Amino acid sequence: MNHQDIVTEIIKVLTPLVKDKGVEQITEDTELTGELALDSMQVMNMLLELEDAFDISIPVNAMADIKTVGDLANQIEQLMSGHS
Amino acid sequence: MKSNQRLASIEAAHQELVEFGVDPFAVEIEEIVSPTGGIIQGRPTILAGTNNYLGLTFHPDCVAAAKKALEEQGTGTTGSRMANGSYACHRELERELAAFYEKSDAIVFSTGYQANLGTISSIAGPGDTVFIDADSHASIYDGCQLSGASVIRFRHNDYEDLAKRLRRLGEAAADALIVVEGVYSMLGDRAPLKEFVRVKNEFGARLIVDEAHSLGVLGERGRGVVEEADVLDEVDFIVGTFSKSLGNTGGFCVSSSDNMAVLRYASRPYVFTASLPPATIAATRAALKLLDKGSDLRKRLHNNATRLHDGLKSFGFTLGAPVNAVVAVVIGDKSEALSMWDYLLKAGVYVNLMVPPATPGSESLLRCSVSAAHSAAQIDALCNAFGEWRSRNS
Repeated sequence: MNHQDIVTEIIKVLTPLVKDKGVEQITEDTELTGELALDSMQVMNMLLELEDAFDISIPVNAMADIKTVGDLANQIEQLMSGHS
Repeated sequence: MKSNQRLASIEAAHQELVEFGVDPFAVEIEEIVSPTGGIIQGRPTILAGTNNYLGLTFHPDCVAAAKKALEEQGTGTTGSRMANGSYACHRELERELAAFYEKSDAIVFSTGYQANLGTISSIAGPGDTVFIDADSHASIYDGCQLSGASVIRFRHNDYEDLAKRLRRLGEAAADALIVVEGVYSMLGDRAPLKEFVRVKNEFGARLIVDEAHSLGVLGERGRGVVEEADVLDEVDFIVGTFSKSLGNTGGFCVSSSDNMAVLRYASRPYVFTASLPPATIAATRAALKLLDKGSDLRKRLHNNATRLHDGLKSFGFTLGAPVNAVVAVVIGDKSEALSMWDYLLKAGVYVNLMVPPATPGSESLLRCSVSAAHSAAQIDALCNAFGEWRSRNS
C-alpha cells in the first residue's frame, strides 16, 4: 500500500464525519482540527477506525505533530513499515 | 499566549454557558449542613453530585480523629516527605492500606490525581508502552504524558481490542503496562476485570486498576471491583483516592511489587508536593476502619442506588449503566441538559452536569452520585424532580 492509498483510506473514513460541516473537498493538505473542526472525540474515533483498517496502533503521543491528512498518512506509513 | 488554542476553546465554551444564563461549573455551596444537604442560592438543596458514597464526611469518629490530630500535631507538615520527613501517621496509614488490600506496601499521595500521575509516571518511562482505556480519567492521560512512554488506547472496556493491540507489539508486550479503572466515573459502568487479568497474564504485562469510584462501594470489604471480581491477587497495582468514599482528600497506590521503595522516590508528584496534614491522615484512617467493617453502609448505598435507578427508569429516562453508586441520566442534547440541570437546582436538587468532550460519545449527562447517607425521602425527592421536568417538557 503506497502513500496515496493511505490518503484515500483516510479521506474515506473522514468523509462521513464531516458531512454536515460544508467541507467541499478533503485533500492531503486539509487540516484535521482546523479546517475540518474535528473535536477530540471525533479524532479518537477516526483513529480507532484507521487502526483497524491498517492493523496498526497509533500512539497518542504521535498525534501532537499531526496537523494535516498528509501528516497522518506519513505517520501511518511509518508505523506500517515498522518505524515509529 | 495569543495562539493558545486550548484556552481559546475553553473561553468559547464558557461564553456559550454565559449566553445560556447558567454556569454549572461555578456552583457555590453556601452552607454545607450534612453529607447530603446544603444551601445553594439560598435554598435547602439535596446534594447528589458529591461522590460522598459512604456519607462519612460528618462521621463523629472521623471528625474526632481529625480534631485530636490537629491539636496534637498542628495544621500542616509544611513540606514534602522526601525533603522534610514523614510523620509517623503517614507510614501508619500506608501500612493499614497495604494490610487492607493484602499487599506488601503502599504509597500515600497528596491527591487522587497525583496518585495516578505518580504511579504511572514512575512505573513507565521513555521506551515503554502503556495501554489505556479510551475513556480513561484525565489523571491517567496526564500520568502517561508525564512518563514519556508511548501511549496506546484501546476501545472502552474491550479486552479483545486490548489483546489485539498487545499482539501487534510483539515481544515487547511482556514489558507493557495496562491501566484500567474499576468503575468509570461518567456512566458508572464497571470494567470486566477478570477478562483484563486473563489478557495481561497471557502477554505477561502488568496491570494497574484505579478504584477511585469503587473503593468502599463494591466488594464484601469494600475493596472495589478487584474484590468483587476476585482478582485482588493478580492485579499488580491498585490506585485509589481518599476523596470519595473516605470523605477526605489524598490518594494511594498499593502493590506487592519489589520496586515500591524505588517507585516512591522516582515519583515526581510524590517528591515535589507537600505531604498531607495530620488531621487529614487521622480522619482518613478512621474512615478506612469504618469502610472496612461497613457492610451495612454498602447495603444502604446499594439500596439507595437501586431506589434511584428504578425510580428514574420508571419515568422513562435512559441510564448509563446497571445499578451502581453513580447513576447517569443520558440526555443527549447539551442545551436540554443545561436547562434540565438549572431546573433541578432551582427545585433543590444538585447533580453534576457532564458535557462532551468530558463524556463518552457525544452525549450530555446528568450524573447523580448516591450516598449511603441519603434518606429514602431524599432519593424520592430526587426522582420526583426529574419526573416533574419530564412531565413539563414532554
